[in-house]
Amino acid sequence: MNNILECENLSKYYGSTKALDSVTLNIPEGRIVGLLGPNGSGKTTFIKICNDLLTPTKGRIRIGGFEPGIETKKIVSYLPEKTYLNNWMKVSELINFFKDFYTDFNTDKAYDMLNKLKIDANTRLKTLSKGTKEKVQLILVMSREAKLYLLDEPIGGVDPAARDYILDTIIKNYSENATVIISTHLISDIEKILDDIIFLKDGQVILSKTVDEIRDESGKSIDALFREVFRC
Amino acid sequence: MLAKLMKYEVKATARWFLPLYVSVLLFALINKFTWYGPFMENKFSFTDSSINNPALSGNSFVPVIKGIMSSLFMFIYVMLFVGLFVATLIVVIQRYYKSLLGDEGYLMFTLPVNAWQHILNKLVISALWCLLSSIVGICSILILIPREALQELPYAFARVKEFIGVSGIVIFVLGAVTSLVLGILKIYSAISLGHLFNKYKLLLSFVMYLAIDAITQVVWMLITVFSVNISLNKIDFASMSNLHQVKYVFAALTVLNVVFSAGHFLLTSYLVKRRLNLE
Amino acid sequence: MPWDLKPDRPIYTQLIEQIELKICSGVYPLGSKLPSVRDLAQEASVNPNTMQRALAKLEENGLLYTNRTSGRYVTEDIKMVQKVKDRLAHDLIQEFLQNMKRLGFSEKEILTVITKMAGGAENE
Repeated sequence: MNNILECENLSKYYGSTKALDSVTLNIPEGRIVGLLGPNGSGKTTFIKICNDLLTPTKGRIRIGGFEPGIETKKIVSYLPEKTYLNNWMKVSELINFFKDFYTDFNTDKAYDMLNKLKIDANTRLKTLSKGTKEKVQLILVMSREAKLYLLDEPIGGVDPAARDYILDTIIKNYSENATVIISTHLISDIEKILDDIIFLKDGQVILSKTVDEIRDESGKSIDALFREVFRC
Repeated sequence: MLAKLMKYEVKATARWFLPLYVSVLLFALINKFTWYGPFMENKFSFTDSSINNPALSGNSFVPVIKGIMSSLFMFIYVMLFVGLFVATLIVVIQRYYKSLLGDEGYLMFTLPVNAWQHILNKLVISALWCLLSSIVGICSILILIPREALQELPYAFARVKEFIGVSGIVIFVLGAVTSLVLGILKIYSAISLGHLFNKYKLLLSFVMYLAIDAITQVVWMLITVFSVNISLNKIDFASMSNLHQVKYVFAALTVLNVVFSAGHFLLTSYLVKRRLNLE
Repeated sequence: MPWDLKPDRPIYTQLIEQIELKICSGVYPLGSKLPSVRDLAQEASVNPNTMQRALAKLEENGLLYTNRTSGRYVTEDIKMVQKVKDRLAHDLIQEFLQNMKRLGFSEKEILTVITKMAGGAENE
């Protein structure tokens, strides 16, 4: 099995603050990975570096064999935590936008998901509620046939029913050639769909195992272990 | 890719400009009608003390309305005209500041597109709108100019051409266009530099702009002083005719604009690629 | 019957148990075709990799078999299913006995209670 993401001693310093400190990871294809840690642990920094939105201070990272740049952007699909789409566009126009720039965008899938969620493609984004906007963003990101999906808090601001739908979509989209990295706080909701867990603390990887290994060895759920490890 | 970016850039900006252009031209037309047309034969004038001033006769209601209307329309037109240039400047800044360095930056910078393509896209389309706004502004003025004065225009233009020659016009246009491009790039540089800091980004961008402007002025002055005193084999500035001096100045301005523009373009590309710091 | 997955035990082992249960209780009858890995994973809201591992293990144990062209099937071997049923029953009873003893019941008392309750249920 190939590794979709390899990083070695990846570090990001802001002055004396170490947002990421010597992170070394090898993430294979076909996995659903949970990137977990408290606020300020470096999750968002790591994801931004993967997306070429930040330049590392030290170390190297390769996605699909390439350093973050145009080639990786073609195969990485990113869902940021915030709403980042042009408000004035209609949903259908946004679909065309994605189709224009990403060759791996699957328009049929997008419309299918919109229909299932009963979102009218003809509405302008700014007239939609926050929850619906987030669903639209998720649909656009998951409609790409990317090799690496980076989801930053995908179920954060959504109601429980929509959460189930989103987790369902992630499972349904699963492919042995693609990897999904989910960064989230809502661990208990998401545990059972994860393959692997990475705990980040103060910019360092303090745990990297499979979900079943952890449950087996500790007799606890990931959620329980998290609370224990990161006790305030 | 660049063409696609530009397509969406135009779509995003046209909805501001097109209505504005239509309004400006419309009100120019309206004012032409209300100031010069037969409609306003009888209008009330505060300053006219002649015997024809309806104010002096008893029957002044309709003329007063006409007077107020025409002043109002002129006011609206002037506001729109000023607004045209203010809006253009605001859009130029917003399209860079908000669209690339705001939340939308998450969308833009994850597209499989080079950083310099983004900057070039914004630059080209912003420059185009600036040119269009200027053209619309000029057209609206032309609409307002009375017919008699308009007829003299072709002659005036021919005289200018006679005086400075086609080469002069070309140099002037090049100088103007490169100045426009440089102006926009200076704004981009200033915003990018201001964005390096965590707080007071907008304020610092403004400060950066002043700094960039000051440096550009200093360089320009140095070159001017230098030029006046040089006496190279080929260029003897002091002995050139006034006309040639002007042409030389514009040519030098153009070259300087291009050099500075390249510098700013490289600076912003670097800043945006390596030192991007989206919230 | 819905999938009942507890958070503190490995999902993989729980999936194996749950599928064994469904086979024994007839939700997946003998010889029937199983839904695809993806569909099962979606139904259980689990990772397809984990579901795949569970199914592979069950195949190893002989409860399932794969027909290369048409998918996964439940075995037709009644004796094998009966063995699993017995094993599961044995585990359940073991746990029950342990819990009852913890409550303080002696073995004779346990038998009495069972006869009364099971007999009572039949008479209803």
